[in-house]
Amino acid sequence: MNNKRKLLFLLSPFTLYISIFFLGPILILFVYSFLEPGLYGGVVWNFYHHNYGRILGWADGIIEEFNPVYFKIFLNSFRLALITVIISLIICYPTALWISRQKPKLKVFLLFLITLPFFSSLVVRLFAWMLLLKPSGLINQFLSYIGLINSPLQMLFTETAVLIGLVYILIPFMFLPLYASIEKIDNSLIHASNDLGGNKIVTFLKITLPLSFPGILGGSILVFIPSLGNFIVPDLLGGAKVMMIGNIIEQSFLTARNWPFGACLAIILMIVVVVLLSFYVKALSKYEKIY
Amino acid sequence: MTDTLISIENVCKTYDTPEGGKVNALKNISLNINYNEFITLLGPSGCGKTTLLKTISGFEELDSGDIKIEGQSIIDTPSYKRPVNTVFQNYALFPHMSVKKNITYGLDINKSLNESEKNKKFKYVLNLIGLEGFENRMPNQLSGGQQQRVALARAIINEPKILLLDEPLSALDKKLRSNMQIELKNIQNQSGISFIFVTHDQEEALSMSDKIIVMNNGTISQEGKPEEIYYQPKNKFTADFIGETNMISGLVYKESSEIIHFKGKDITFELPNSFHKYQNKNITFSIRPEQFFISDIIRNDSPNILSFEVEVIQKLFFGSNIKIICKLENQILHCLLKVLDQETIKMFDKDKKLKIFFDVTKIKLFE
Repeated sequence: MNNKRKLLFLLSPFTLYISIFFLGPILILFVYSFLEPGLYGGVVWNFYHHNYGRILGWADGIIEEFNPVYFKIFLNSFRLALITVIISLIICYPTALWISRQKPKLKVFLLFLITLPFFSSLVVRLFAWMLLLKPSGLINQFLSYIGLINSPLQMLFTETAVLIGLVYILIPFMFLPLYASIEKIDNSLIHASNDLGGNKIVTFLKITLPLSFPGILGGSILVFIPSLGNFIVPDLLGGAKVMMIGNIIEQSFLTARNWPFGACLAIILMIVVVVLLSFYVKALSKYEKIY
Repeated sequence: MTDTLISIENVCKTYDTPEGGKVNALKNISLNINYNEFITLLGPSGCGKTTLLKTISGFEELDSGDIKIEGQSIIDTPSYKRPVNTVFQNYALFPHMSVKKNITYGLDINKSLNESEKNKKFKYVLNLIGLEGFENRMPNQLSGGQQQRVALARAIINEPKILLLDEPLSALDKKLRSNMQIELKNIQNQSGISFIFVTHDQEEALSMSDKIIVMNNGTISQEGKPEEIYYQPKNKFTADFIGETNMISGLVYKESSEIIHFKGKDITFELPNSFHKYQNKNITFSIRPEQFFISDIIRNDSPNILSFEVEVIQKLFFGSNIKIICKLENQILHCLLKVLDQETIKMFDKDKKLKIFFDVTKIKLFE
């Protein structure tokens, strides 16, 4: 067997799996997004472009009825995902920097702690947050006990709750790439900068930060994409008050039974993600050349 | 004003080992270094030479003692404020910066120069290291020797009072290394900066330095000019570490009233009368391989010329000379001999018996 055949043979399980279970459904989604929704669910096999029109604000092609409600939800999801990225970056960067400077044994233990939340179910953890945040929850009880508040704060079903939840579930995805790239920075570069007259701040800004850029970029993408399409967190912690694009997609399929519209939202979300990823790959390849 | 640029006074440094023990990396080291000097710290790995360098650059704190530059103590000065720059063993070039950005890093941070002054200095050092035209390359587009020169330029552009070089040539191949040795020496002369060069390569140290400091086990074994270190080693460690040597230890004794004998573990031979004073003492001869010669080159009528009958084990031909590894009873000797023609080499074939001579008054001996 020559090398090419060997490669083909070795890669075929992956290729088959991906094409059947990943590309296949996407193709179905794409086709459905151009079909007319059936009256009682399902689809009518007619070409129908109003799904896309509706998202941009013109439902059923009537120009006068401009109402960009879905567009606004899109924007809001973007905003929440972006805030999630920024908060998790602010939390993770100093932590990653600190852990990377610890002794090897302690490092392994701390990394284990970071991945610990993965050991339990996501839904269970989010329910725990509901118990913490609800008006009679632990946080409110504590605050009123120490006398800071008189009546319970409304924390559950707010945007803050959604952000707390998103940051909470996605923080390891920011941490790990960030840690990997910070850990990789050769300590002698820090010494060299120091030696050439750079104090800690200068060294951080000119050496550590630029060299950890691939990690920042990778972590941001890994946090941004799942938070953009997330529906469990806004569903449980945001209630009906905070809508993200993931909730609309879920509702279109399951509640409204409007499959073409859900498919259309999913396709648009995917296009956005692919565009973002292409920027990421481009930026990363520039850095790859350096190392 | 004295000539002393940097004085190291009673410096001690202890490390904790991972096993919980303690290692005395520097034991009460004192040292003076003058202006415009090329100093080499030479010693085996773990002798404390790199630690000493790091205490000067500020990456290691002292347990006790003081380091003064031009009379001013620097031990409380953070490393980024010290008038000292380092060329690192692995060069430590910033991978995300071009050659130019790397070299001007110190000047860019300092901000005391305007753009045209900066450029002038940059052009000067770029010319000094001979890398014109490489300004915009990234470090990973340079060869090892080029990277090393960028690292050097990056340090000397700041005009430090002292340049510290931590085994900077160890990653280069032999030919490149000897070129860089000459260049380093030239750059040191041109810049007038004192260089403190750390190496475990004794040839490198001998060929480049104004002064060598031989270190062993956290102490200074000997300091002096290369030729002093080579021909006048103060102790067995220096003699053994610098250059190659044949150490022969044994007891001097008198058998009859006339003849003085030397009895080693594996050999016994007669000594001239001048060795009378070492009677009943243990001494060690340190004979350099090149201090042996063969009979047809030098006559042997002086009482100081001793001879050994040896058996050749191996010969290594280097071109201008030949190295013979031979056996004198159970003692292995290394001899470096001049050969003038092809015929002579046949004398040194394996298992051949050979008479070698040396002048016992010219070799170093330790009591």
